[in-house]
Amino acid sequence: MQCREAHDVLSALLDDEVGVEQQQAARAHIAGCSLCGEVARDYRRIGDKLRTVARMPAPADLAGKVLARLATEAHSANDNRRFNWRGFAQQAATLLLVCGLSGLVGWHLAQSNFERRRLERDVVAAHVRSLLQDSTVQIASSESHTVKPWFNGRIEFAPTVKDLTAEGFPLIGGRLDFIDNRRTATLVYKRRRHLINVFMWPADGQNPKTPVPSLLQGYNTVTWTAGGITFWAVSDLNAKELGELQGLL
Amino acid sequence: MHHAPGLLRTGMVAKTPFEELVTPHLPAAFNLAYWIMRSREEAEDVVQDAYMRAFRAFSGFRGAAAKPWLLAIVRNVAYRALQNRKRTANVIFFSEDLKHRDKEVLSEAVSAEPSAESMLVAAEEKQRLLSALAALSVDYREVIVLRELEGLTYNEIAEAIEAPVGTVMSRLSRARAELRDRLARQVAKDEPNAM
Repeated sequence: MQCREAHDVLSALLDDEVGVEQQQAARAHIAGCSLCGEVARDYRRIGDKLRTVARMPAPADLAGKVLARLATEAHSANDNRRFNWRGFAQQAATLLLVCGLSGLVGWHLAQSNFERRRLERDVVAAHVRSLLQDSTVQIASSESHTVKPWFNGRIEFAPTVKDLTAEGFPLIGGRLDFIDNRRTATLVYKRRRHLINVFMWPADGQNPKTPVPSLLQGYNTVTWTAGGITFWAVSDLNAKELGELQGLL
Repeated sequence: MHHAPGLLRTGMVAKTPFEELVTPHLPAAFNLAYWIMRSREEAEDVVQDAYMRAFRAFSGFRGAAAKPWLLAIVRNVAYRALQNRKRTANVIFFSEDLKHRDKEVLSEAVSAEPSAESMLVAAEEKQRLLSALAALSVDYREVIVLRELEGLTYNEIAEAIEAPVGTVMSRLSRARAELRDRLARQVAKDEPNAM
């Protein structure tokens, strides 16, 4: 190893920061080279001397100052942290609640809407089917006292049967239908030349209390629940007059 | 040292993990800050700011050694202060601070035991050493301080100055060589006959 090389690792050698091989080579060189040995001794002496004189002692009150500022900082940081956590928790809780509620409501709405749509398709289909028959009724009578007893023994509930001739909705008669896996009582009313099918079955609790008008395949429909019975009225009659019938039943 | 545990105990807060890990390094922090700034007042400010920074960053501290981590923060704060000083052109002469210190040193030395003359010589030697160190460029000065005064390993110095270990090694080598040269020149100037 030459002086130049040795000089490069001399400093690291003193600090014990060179590899074993290099260490041996450098030591061997320094041992035989008075110049490098002198530099090494100087470095060591300067280091030793620095350690005894160059350390700048911290002012006595610095620790106190630092700790006081830290205490203030810690206090406000704690306040901030606590506030943030509480705020975060509140926001999270509110958000969860809102999400949960809206999800629930949305799910419920979607569910009931989906249900209503399905029933509407069924009742409109039944309405159309009835028009394809030779007769829309099995019991033809405008007498509610004739029509209502006809359902006895055919269905498990007593349907609402009203003769609304005076109101402009003459009763044509009644028949049985099969909708949504159950027998339904179906009454047929007439408004001028328009036939109106009114389907009835026992309410199962998921039906709208207030009338829900709708339109499907050009037919107006309206559904509502009254007296524990779900009603579906379907007709090519305009929605306004169909609404009138709904109000009468 | 002055950061005596008593101070911690009388503090209004219980000893936190932060204090436990970081307060023992206050002397090292001040020493490094002083040798970068070369001013006691500014070093005090730097240390206080650095401790606040360290406190805020403490939750992110996962290292094994708190000392190099803290010294890296001190160094960053000090460098920023140096730049501010440069910007405001508020030049502070380090030599004044050193002179002030040297007077203390001298009076200490004179009043101390053995022969007054030998102590006077020691005091002169000390002044030369401090002046030579202070005259080094800041990147040489800091590695000398971290290695010789704080006894950090090369890895720890690398962490503190945020540089590769190889850089630490070569910089220390050059810093030592320059420090030795300066001292030699100074000695030659002060004592022309001694050489």
